[in-house]
Amino acid sequence: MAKLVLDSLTKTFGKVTAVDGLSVEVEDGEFVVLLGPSGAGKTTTLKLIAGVEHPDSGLIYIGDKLVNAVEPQKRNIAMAYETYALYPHLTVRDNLAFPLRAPGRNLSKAQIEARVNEIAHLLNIHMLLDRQPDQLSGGQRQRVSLGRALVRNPDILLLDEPISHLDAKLRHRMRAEFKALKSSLKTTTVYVTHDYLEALSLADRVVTLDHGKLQQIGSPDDVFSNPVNVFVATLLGHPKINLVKCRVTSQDGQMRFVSADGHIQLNVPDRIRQKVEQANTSEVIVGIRPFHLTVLDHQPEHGSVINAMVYVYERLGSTGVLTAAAGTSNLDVLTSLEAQFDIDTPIRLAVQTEHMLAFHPVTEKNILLD
Amino acid sequence: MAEVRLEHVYKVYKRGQVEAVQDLNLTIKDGEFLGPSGCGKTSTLRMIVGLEEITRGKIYIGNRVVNHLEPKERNVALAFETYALYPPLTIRQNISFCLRARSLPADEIDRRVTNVARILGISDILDRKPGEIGGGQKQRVSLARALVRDPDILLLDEPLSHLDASQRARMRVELKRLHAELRRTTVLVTHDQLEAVAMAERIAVMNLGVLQQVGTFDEIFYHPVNEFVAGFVGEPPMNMLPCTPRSEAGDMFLEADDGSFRIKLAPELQTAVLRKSPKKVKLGIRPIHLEAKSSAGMDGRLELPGTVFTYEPLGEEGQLAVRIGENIVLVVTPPHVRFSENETVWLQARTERIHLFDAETGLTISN
Repeated sequence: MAKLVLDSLTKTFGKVTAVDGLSVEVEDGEFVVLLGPSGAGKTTTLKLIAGVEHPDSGLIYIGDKLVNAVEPQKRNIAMAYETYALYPHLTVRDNLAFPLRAPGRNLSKAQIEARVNEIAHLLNIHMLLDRQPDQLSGGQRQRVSLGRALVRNPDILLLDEPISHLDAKLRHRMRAEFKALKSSLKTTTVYVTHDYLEALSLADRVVTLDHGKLQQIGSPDDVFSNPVNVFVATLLGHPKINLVKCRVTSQDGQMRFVSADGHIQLNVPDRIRQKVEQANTSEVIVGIRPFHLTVLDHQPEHGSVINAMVYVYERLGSTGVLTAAAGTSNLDVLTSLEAQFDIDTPIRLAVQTEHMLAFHPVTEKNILLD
Repeated sequence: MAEVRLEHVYKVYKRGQVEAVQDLNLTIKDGEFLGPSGCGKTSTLRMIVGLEEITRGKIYIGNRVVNHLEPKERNVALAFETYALYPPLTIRQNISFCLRARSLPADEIDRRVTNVARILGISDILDRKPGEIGGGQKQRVSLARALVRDPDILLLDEPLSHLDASQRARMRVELKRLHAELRRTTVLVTHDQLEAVAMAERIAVMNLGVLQQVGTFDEIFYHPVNEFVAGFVGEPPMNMLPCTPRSEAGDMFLEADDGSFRIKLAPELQTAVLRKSPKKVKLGIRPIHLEAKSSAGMDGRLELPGTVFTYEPLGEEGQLAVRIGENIVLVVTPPHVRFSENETVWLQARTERIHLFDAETGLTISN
């Protein structure tokens, strides 16, 4: 167990800057998720921590120790790419003991036995010690391979997309399994994924990256509800957040956001109005999450309503997604699975304007956070 | 546009060793969007298009038996996973290839290519070569090449598999829209249930070459004929709990095989179980059809007590994993309703959302 500090790390490969001035402090025992699309620099960051790649500049501390010059095997880090890679011909016990029997460790049989039992109890796999990997469920296998990574008592655990390769059907279950397992871990962990659901589910804090640059560090709630910019807002959520470029207008003292074609007109709540005035901008990019739009079946008393046409309606696994054409903008709306809509029929959408986000049209920064 | 009809179609490979398709009967209505899923689907598609011989049975397009027609005589267009673009030709030339082969006037070719390129969002890459564009773009070019021919039947073999998640969601919407506008009879093959349910008017679920069920989303989703179909469609997948039916004092009960619960069945389910009298059943409930309550009560609903294994807030929804005996049951929860680990919860479901399958045959008992 140890604190991990990355201080202004930069790593280039030829002309590509994979990691660009990245500074992150991971607290002792914290579970941090690096989230970003492919090419964001997530895996390179892991490799820099592990010591299999060297930064062009910047410092890496584990505990209080600067490790830039320390060999990978002496950093006391465990790295698992896919938590599934078990030796099929060895029992769970032998799989767990394997890293302890490595030459140079010089542990007695009794010591190995004790450590294997300890980790097996921690991960609740002690009743499985004599089984072969093919006699285990997916969740159990995940626990065993994690146990193997942890058995050496690493200071830092690094996990690279451990469940992303799984079939979509299994992923929900394995994510839940992983979450349960996580609460028994006390090891400082850096977990890499491109799947925002894993980040929201598992992370103590989420680190969002784009082209090697840090975008935002925050709790899952924070990065989802208060994204710092358009990139982070788009990175989390499915369907993606709706973005509409709007003019800022005022009528009878009421501020409104109006889309270029005038089709979308939104009353701006006071809290947001103050921030927009402060930002002194005549345009904003309005962000509305699909679950903050509701299809109305009656005429509302008040509030912002958008008249639109059904462009396409899809019923997915657990929700419906309505793509609505409002003038030249397409808006995604999350609906219940029971809902039915026909293409090209008119609908009215209610907007929960208190949950709107507003981004600066040029910098794309969230002006509500200033 | 035309109807496609398959009558007792078989496809056998390797001198009878592999039955890829077995006794397939399927009618794809004029203008319909059908999404077969599962095994044997690509063989079926290739037989319709004429790339594979039909081992046994008949395939009709419109009113014609096409078994012995050459692919080019069938007016069927196929876009498949491996794009098969001509590397030395530009994207424009790739798309217009078959039109030029048919000696259409140049301005007509130009009009069609421009139109299809606009629809598929590839207008800006028309003058590039296949080697200079990405996988997702290649997939769209392959689609454009199939669409530009204005075929009677459009066959799409995993057309979105190489796109990333957000491109796929976008293309799904565009394809569905395109179909609504063109009403071209379309068969889309996919392994991804999400694609099938999102786009198709009817879904044909296949498994090991055998058609399991053909139906609309509602039919497949709410009334699956067997455990395979039930598990295939929907995400997260349907929860399955092994149980044994017990009759007692004129009432029918379900007892969990791990002893974790015992519930009285609703009258309509009692009748169904009595009629089929299975030894063992699986109780199937979809994660979106379960509601987690902090206290018991609520008459007339199925109710299962459990403890929270994990709770995951996932933005627009939450996922709850509940331990019931030896099983973990998943529940999709509304946003902003929070749960804590080891909390006791009661999972409730409406009777009409409960599925029972014969554990031996996998067949539905409750429909």
